[in-house]
Amino acid sequence: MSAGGPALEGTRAAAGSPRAWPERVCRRLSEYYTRYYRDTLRIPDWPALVEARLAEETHEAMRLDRLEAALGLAVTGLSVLNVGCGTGGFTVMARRAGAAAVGVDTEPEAVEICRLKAEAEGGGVAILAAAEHLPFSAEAFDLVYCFSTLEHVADVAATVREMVRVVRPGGALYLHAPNALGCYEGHYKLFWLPRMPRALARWYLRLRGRPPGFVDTLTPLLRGRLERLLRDAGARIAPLPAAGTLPRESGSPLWPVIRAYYRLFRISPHIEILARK
Amino acid sequence: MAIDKELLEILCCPQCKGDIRLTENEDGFICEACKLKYPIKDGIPVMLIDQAEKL
Repeated sequence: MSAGGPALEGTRAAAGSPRAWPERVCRRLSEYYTRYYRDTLRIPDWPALVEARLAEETHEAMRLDRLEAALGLAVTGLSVLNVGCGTGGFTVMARRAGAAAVGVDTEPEAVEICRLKAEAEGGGVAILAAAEHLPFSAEAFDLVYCFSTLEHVADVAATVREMVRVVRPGGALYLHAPNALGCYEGHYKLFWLPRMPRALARWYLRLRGRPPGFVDTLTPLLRGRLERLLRDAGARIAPLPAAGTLPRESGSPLWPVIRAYYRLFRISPHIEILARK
Repeated sequence: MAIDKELLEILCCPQCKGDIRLTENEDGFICEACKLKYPIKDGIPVMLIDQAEKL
């Protein structure tokens, strides 16, 4: 993709083991994710999820490995925009891997945590910006990375247009989002009926003892629509290497049925797209 | 989080995508075309159109 990116060798997860954050960063992460997992989503085992977030770089290292496998090269030397950076786990790992990584998000608290991480790291950039109105000139980045963000934005089409706009010709976009045809709601961490109507979803969430408000903020996404939006914006869809075995979602006793549904209809619980401009 | 030179080169107005300039005391970015100032709060550029100050 870029002359700056060396050929991919080995795996990042093995190479860059995440370090513990200073106490003040951990405290902010803990407060932020406690509000999210305990208050917004009322997930029964929220303390374990909050704990995992203190070392979210562990997961992000695996995602970076997957990204590099998809690209067929390391991110070293690339300029990378992380759209919907959250508390900055991926941006940190991309930077440690030698990328010039910039994160944007609309959550002030999350971006403040990114700033604290950047301080601790001795570098890194996070900006408060909306995905639909990116504050970057055209063709500014080699790579745009957008993980679990498109389902949260107010305008998916405008976001895709903006992401394609800021990638340079020959650059790449990597999108990852939940599939509306999946049987699992990854935010609430609940079994879910594919394409469940919103009214039914709210009723179901109440039945499961969960606050239904958050579901109203989510947009169900289908692969075909995202691919169409990317093509309309001037990108072309690129092939992805196989992603390995299907991860088991929750401890649902329905899992054998869900797995059969996924296999029969060749559905993945997630939409993963690599596009090039 | 310092506003470095490389970042300045790629930052633009999120509304008109035109050039912006860093204010002299580095407390924000000005878009002359839109007559907007995007503040830098606690070292974080706030590049949100609805939070920009009208000039």
